[in-house]
Amino acid sequence: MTAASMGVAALARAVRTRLVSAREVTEAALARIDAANTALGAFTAVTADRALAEAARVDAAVARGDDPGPLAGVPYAVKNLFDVAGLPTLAGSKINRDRKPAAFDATLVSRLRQAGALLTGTLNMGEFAYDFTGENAHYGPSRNPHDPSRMTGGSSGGSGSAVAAGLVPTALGSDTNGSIRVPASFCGLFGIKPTFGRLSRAGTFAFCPALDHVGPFARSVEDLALVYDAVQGADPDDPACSAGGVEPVTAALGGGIADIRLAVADDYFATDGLPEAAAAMALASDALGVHRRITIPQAARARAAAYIITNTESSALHLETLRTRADDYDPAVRDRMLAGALLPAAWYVQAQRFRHWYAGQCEHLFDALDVVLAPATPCPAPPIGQKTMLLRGEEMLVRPNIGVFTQPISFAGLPVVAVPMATDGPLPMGIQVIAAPWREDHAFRVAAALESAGVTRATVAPSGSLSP
Amino acid sequence: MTADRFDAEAHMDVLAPTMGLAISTEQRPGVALYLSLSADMASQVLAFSLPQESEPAAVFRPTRRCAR
Repeated sequence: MTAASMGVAALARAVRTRLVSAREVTEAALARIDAANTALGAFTAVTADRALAEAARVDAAVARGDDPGPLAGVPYAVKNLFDVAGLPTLAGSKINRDRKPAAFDATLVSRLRQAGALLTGTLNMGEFAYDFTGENAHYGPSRNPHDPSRMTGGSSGGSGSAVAAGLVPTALGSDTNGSIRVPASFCGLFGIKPTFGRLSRAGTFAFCPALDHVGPFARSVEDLALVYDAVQGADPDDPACSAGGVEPVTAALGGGIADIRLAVADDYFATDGLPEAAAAMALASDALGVHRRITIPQAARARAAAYIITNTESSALHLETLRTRADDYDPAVRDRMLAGALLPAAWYVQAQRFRHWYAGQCEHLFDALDVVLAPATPCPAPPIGQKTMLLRGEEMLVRPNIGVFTQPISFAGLPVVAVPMATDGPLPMGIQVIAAPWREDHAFRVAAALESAGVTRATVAPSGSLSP
Repeated sequence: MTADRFDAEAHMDVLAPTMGLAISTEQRPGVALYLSLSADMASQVLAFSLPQESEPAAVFRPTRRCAR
C-alpha cells in the first residue's frame, strides 16, 4: 500500500502503533499536494506549518503513551468556507479575500484537531457554494483526478479532487442541494450528507441556512464513519444543530443488513434513458437483492421549492455586496443572486410551507422501510466548461440540472451516504443510500454491505492521469 | 401566478430600485433568465394545494443565546 492510497483507519493505526510518525505522514502529504496541486486546482491554501505543528503534538502524545485520538496523524483538508484560524474564509470568492482572517477554527475543524487529525489546507469550491460543477471564475476549476479535463462536481470540488487524487484521505465539504453527493459521484468517493441539524455548521460561511449541511468525504465506508463519528456533537453556536446525543456508526458497520428494509426510488428517480446512472443503480440493487419500488411523492415540486428557498436566502445574505460589488462576483453566480433578491416573499413562505408538508410525507415513507436507493447524478462528470447536456434526448443547462436527484432529498433533511459504484464505464458514478431522519447508521450499514459485496470502487486516481 | 404570464423585464425594472440594486445592461439578460426560472419553479410550488394549517418548515425556538 502506498502512502497516497492509505486511508484514515490505516494511517491512524500506523501512527498509534509507531509504524510511522505523524511528521512523516504529514511530510508525505505535503509533498503530494505540492506535486499535484497545480494540475488539479484542489487547494487554495496549504497550511504546512500548522500541519507539522499538529503532527508534533500527536507524536509527543504517542511518545508519552497518551491517547493521541481516534484520527491520530490523519491529514485532511477543508472546503474553504470553513473558518481556519489565521486565514480569510474565502467561500470560493474574490470578495471574501478582504475579510479579516478567522480568529477561531470552525467547530468541525476544532473537533478534528481534538481527534488528532492534521489540517493540511483549504480547498477550492464553487463561488459561495452556488454551484454543482466545481468550476470557479477566480481560482480556476478544481479538476477531476480520474480525467482532469472533466468536472469534479461541486460545489465541494476541491474536496472531491483532493481525496480522489490521494492528496489526503479525507476532507470536509458542505451540501445544500447536493454539493457533497455530486462531487462524490463524479470523483468516485464515499460521502455523507447527514440529517439536517446533525453536524454543526458553526464557523462556516453560510450559503442558505435553511438547507446547509456539512460532512466528510473518504475512500472507504470505515474511513467515512471514523471521521463522521469524530465530528458529531451538539453545538449551541449553530442554532440548527440538534442537542441530541452523539450516535456513533463505526462499531455497527459489520452488523449486516438483515433487519434493514430496502427499496429503490422510482418515478422522478427512474433512470430510463440515463445509461450510466441505470448501471450504477442496477449494480447496487442486484447486489442487495432489492426488488421493492417506492415513490417519493412530489419530488419535482420539492426540487422547485428548494430552488426558491436557496435563491431567496442566499441573495438576502449577499444583498449589501450585490449593491456595492456586483461585478466582483462570478457572473453566473451574480445574475442568479440578483434575481433572487427580487423574488416575492410569498414564494419563499409557500416553499417553506411545502417543505414542512413534504418532509412529513418522506417521514411517513419510512414507517414501512428503512433505506431507499436513488441515483446521485444523472450522468458522469461532464467536460469542464460544458454549458448544456443531453439528458433523455433533451438539451438542458448543466449547472442547475446536475443536482436533479440530490436536491429533493436534502430538501427533506434526510441522511444520505453517497456510494461510488464499480460500473464498467470509464468514469466514476455514484448512488444515494438514503435513510430516515437521524438513522445515518442504516445508510452506513447498507453502504458497508455494498462495499463488502465488492460492487463499489473508490480508488486513488493513477498519478499518470494528472499529466497536463 | 403562472410562469407564462410573468414578465421578467418588467418585474426587474420595478423591484430592483426598491431593493437598492442597479442592474447593468450586461447583467440584464442573465437576471431575466434566472427570474424566469424562479418564476417557473414558484409556479410549481404555488400550484400545490396545501392544507391551511400547514406551518412553514422553519420553526423559531427562542434561546438565551439569541440575546447576545
